[in-house]
Amino acid sequence: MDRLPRWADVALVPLVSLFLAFLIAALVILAIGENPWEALKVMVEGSLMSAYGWGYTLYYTTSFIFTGLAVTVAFHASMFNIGGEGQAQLGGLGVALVCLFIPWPHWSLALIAAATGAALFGAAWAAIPAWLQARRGSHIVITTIMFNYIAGSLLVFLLVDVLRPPGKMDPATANFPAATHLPSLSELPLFNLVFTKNVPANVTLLIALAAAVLVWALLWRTRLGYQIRAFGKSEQAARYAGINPTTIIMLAMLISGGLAGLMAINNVMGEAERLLHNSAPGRGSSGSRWR
Amino acid sequence: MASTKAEGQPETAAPFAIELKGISKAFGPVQANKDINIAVPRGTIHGIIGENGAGKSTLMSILYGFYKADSGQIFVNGRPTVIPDSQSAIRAGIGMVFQHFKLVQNFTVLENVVLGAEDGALLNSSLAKARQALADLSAEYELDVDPDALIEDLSVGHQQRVEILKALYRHADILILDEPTGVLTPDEADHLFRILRGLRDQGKTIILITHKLREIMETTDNVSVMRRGTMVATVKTEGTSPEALAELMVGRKVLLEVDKGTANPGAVVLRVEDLRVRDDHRVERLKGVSFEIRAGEILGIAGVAGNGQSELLAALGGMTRASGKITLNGQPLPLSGRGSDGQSRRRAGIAHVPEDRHHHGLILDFTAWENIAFGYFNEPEYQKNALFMDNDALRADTRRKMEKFDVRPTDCWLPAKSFSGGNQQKLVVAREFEQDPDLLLVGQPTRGVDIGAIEFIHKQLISLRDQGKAILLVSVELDEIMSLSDRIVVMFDGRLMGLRDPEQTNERELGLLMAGITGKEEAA
Repeated sequence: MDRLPRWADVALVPLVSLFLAFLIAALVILAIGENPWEALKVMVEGSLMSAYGWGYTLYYTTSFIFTGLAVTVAFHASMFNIGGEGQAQLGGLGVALVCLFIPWPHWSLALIAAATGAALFGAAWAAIPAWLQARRGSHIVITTIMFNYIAGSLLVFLLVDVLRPPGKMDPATANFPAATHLPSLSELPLFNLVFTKNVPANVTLLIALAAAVLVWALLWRTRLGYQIRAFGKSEQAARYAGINPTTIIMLAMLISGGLAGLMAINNVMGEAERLLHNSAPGRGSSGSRWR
Repeated sequence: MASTKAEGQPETAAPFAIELKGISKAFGPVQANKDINIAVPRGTIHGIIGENGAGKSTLMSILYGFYKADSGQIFVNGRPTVIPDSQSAIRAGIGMVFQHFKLVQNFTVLENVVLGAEDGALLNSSLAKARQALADLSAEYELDVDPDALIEDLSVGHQQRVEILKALYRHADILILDEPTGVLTPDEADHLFRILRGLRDQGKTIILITHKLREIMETTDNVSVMRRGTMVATVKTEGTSPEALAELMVGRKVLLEVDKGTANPGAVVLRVEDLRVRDDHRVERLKGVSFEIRAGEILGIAGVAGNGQSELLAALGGMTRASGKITLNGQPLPLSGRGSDGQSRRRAGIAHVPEDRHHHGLILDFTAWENIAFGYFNEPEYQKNALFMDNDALRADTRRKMEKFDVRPTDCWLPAKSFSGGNQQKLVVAREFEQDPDLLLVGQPTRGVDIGAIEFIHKQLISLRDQGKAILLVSVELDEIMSLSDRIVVMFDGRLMGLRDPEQTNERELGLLMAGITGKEEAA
């Protein structure tokens, strides 16, 4: 197969995909008797034509960066991690425990601890399917999907029976203390020149961008990344080179789960400021669809 | 089908069974066949020889209807013929025996022969007719195969005969064989050539595609040489020599004989005792093998593929679990669990050119420089600091190795899959030979490699031996084993069949050992 030139790979393919998506959406909108052009205008205006719109767009972007990175790392090891949603929900649990049960003097310290908690809980949730794949050969796609449902049920149980404050009716934790409030872009210097109204996009965006750079460096500049990519291309060849399949599957999936878990600092800590049931609807698997 | 023959009768005056005129075929920018002209006289064995990628297979695929030529004409028995698919080729009287057989393993010989050529919905009459036809063909051409045997129970040589019977049953007058001896023992190959001569004497036309000069010289009447998509020459076999053909294939003078002095074996480097390997189905593939290799000698392991050679290399290279005992320079090496992986083997001083460069030796999607680090990504010289690899150093090292081993093109950013087979192999060889190992495991070093690169790799192997390395050479090419080895053992059914001195043995004797025929089992 001839390869596409780089510019086509980088620019043309996404543009054509976007155009086709618009086209199919337009057909659906036409079918329900509305004007697709009007709908497109509403969408673009709402998301891109105002600072306030950008505030939401960037908020969602932050979540998708994490889930996209999660899928990427696993994918390079030829593991299809569909379980980003469950891992993000568990990440949310990690965030909630850190924020609710430890008194924090400043949001920055809370952020570091919450990020650690989110990553650890997400990684732990990915660890079980990873181990089953590495040692038992249970297919990671099946097990991670199953773990999404288990995560959902676990969260419902914890929110209804354990973490729900007395007297409240909705399945959610208490609000996090004010000291754990993450500054939104409208509260950050320089950014507040653009974002004058309060927006959900918050400081987590910067962490997401940093994570993207770190993942690139991991995959393309380190020995571990080299081994992950080699293993992903050919397990047989990896065995010849002395790359341990179990180690690589576990590490790649732990990193992947950790990244998916990190999404929770954006939506749980940065926006909702409490852990709600169904905090990450569809995002985790969207990350993989988006790939 | 019989009608084809009847119509063909008046055409017997036409001198050529097959004539191709001006055939060209391009795949994207690659011109696989350039203006090919070839005429194959009736009732002859015609060899087509050329390096990998010279365009032999493309040309035969055009003749058999797999590809459509961009331009050019095909004449069968003097008549212009269009061959859009393999059914048309069969109707035109052309039969093909592929390198990889296309047989249904759990069908009988008879069922395979009839498959696709049944007379109607009910099988019985077809099978009865085929049984009679097979009996006639077997008697006529020494093609004896039990019609009721299951394919999976047959040896490779017999399976190949079934392929030939299939073609003959379909009234093939022209038989194309693509690298037919790759999987055969010398004895089976001799038998095949007897069959082919018999077919020729009955008036059939045979086209034999091979890269083995010896087979061309022994079997063919005429030979056509291809190089880089063009037909370089067609000559009478009587009037040529292997050296002349090699020169035509490569385009320059080639040294066919390996130039090597006597070995000066030193201390024992590798000692293997009672090595056993089981496969995933718990079947024992390596059944207790013992031998030793000294510094400065090449131990050659001959044998038909699939007799445990791969398992031996895998066990020594840390790719599979094994039992028994191996010591390297007196140090025992673990055969399972911790310390038995490829990384530990490399640290211990074992380099390994694997048999299968596509599935083991290289990551085809990786660049050349990434492949030079394959297996050696932990080497201190490739690290910038504790965190990052020093890719600049790695690329510099890659350029140096590509230069020294004449890997072309010398672009270290190209993915491995963009190199030709020979250059891919040179990448692997460059990586492994340059590690200064104590023991070098070499599997099929020249499989699918062109003559020029073979010469180069052989020279390098001899020079490593002379530097005092211990070398274990596994190859299915008997010529290669005989010309490179200082000692030869033959592997059959997971066991070693006896030690031979290459000076005092011959292909006949080794061939018998390869087929498992021996007086007593000896340890090497």
